[in-house]
Amino acid sequence: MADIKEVLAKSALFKGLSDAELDQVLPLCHKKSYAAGFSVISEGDVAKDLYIIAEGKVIVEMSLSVYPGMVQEALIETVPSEEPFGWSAVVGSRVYTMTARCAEATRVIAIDGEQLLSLFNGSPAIGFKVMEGLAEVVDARIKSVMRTAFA
Amino acid sequence: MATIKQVLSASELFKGLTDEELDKVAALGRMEVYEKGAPLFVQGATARDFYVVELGRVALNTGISSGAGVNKEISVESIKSGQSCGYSAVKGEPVYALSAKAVEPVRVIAIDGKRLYELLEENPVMGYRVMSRMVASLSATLRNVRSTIQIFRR
Repeated sequence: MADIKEVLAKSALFKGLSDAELDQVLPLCHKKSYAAGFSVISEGDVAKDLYIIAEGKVIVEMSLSVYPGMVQEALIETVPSEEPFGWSAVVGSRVYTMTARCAEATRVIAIDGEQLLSLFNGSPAIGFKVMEGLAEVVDARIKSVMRTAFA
Repeated sequence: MATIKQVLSASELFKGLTDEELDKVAALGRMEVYEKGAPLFVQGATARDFYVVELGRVALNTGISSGAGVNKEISVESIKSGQSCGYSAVKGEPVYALSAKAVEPVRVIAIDGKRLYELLEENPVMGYRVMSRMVASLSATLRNVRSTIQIFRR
């Protein structure tokens, strides 16, 4: 598995940080490995960690109430290497709004959301850059979902 | 009628900013009024302004092809008083990802997106706070787009 700092530096979320800023994020990170089919996070669970995919692929799914009382799990999209998922750990209600399941053997970097928010509050310039990166990721996902749906 | 600063201070994105911070944002804003059915911006058009809704409701729509060359518009989100739209303009995206149309008579604060971004970048405490709220709002839009599309496909 690539070095954590190397993965962060290439990731959509942290690529805007300087070397010294990346060093401040590193102590909050943990490497984790999962087998194909394993659900890393589940919709409705308390959002503790934010994840960056180091190797592998993850499928994110959300449940939909199509009719009252009828909930279906819908396949939404595949998240590739170096992309984040589980950002509810640092944004909004702190509850995961999606389930993320490994499409293949996958290695991730898990970052503690509370600790990351503390870092942002102490170093808002880092927080601004990471949130800017996250805004780009979310915006790109909106466009990708629409492109796929209406192609 | 409320001043631009008062509207901003009551908005989801800018509430809680200091008086001085609000003054800086307010200096970039201008009041605009749209009649029912009028577009604030159109999907694919150059993303210039970001909008905070003071009064009325705005629909975020996307154009789709429903087969046989028939194009129609579906609504993915409703933006109410105190909420915002047009984030593409702040993030330096060249075009708007969605269209925005006044569902009823609407009064908004329009803010030049590029200048707002520069202000946020120069003032990281405010920048982090506002950008974090923008991400929360964009995430809600993403969820709404996903839900709308899944339901539309059925």
